[in-house]
Amino acid sequence: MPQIPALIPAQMLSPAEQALALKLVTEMDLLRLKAIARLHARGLPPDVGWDDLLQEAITRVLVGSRKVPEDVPMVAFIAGIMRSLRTEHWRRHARGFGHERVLLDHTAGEPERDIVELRDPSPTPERALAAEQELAAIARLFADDPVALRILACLGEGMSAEQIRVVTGLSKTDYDSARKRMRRALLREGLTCQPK
Amino acid sequence: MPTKMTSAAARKLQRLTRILQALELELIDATDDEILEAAKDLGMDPRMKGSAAFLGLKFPMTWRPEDFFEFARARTAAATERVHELSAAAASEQHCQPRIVFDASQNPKKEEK
Repeated sequence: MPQIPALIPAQMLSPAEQALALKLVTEMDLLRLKAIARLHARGLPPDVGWDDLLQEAITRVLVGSRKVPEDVPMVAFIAGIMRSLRTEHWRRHARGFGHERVLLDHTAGEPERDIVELRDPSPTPERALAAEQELAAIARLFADDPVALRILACLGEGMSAEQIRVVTGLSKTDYDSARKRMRRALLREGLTCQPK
Repeated sequence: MPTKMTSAAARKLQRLTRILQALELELIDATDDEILEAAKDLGMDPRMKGSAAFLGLKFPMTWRPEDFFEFARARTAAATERVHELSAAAASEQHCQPRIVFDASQNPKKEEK
C-alpha cells in the first residue's frame, strides 16, 4: 500500500522577520499594492477608501494578527489580507441585517456535534447590487478591447489559460498580448490619483 | 445538469470573486517596467521623488490642517491646563469653605407636647 507523505506545516516568519520583510517592500511593490487595493476597494462603501484597506492590511501584519508563511511573497500576502478584509466587511454587513441564518441541530449522543451552524449562502441585495456594479466597472475598463472582454468572461467561469485559448480560438501570442493589455489597463486604473 | 441550486446573485458573486482573483494575480505578476509604462501613460514618473503615483502611500491623499498644525497636542495641552484650573479652584473652595460644626446645645429639640 503506498504511503501518503505527511504534510509539512508551512514555516511562519517570526515578528522580527515579518517586520524586516515589510521593510524590504520596494517602491514598485507599493505601487502594485496600491493597484490591488484600488481593485478590492471598488466594491466597498464610499467611506472605505483603498488606502484604508491597504493600511488595515499592513497593520494586521505589523500587529502580528496574521502570520506570514515563509514561502509567500509579502505583496501576495498583503493582497490576500485585503481580499479577506473585503469579505469580512460584507459578512459583517450581512450580519447587521440579520441575513445569516443559524440553525441549531441538537443531535443526541454526539456532544461535539451538538450545534450545527448553517449560514445562508445567498448574498444580501446590497451585496448583489455592489457585485453587479463592480462587474460593470471592470468591464468598462476593457470596453475598447473585445478580446479582453471575452477573456474576462472566461475568467469569470473559472477557466484556465489553456481552456480560454481553446474557447476563444486565440493563439498563444494573441492571448499573451491580450493579457498584457489587460494588465496595462489595470495598472493605469490602479495608479490613478482619484480617491476611488 | 447542475447538481447544486444557486441563485443568480450568488453565481454573479462567484464570477466576480474569480475575476478579482485573476486580476489580482495579474497585478502581483506585473513587472516593474509595466508599472513604469502605465505610470508614464498617466504622466507620472515613480522614479521621481514625490511622484504623484505615491499619493496615499508615502504622503496623504489630501492635506488636512492636522498635517500642518499640531491640533492633537494643542488639544491635550488645553485639556491639561483646564484640569489644573479646575483642581486649583476646587482646592481653594475647600480652603475657604466655613467649617460647620454642629452644636447640639445651640439647637435644642422642640419640646414635645
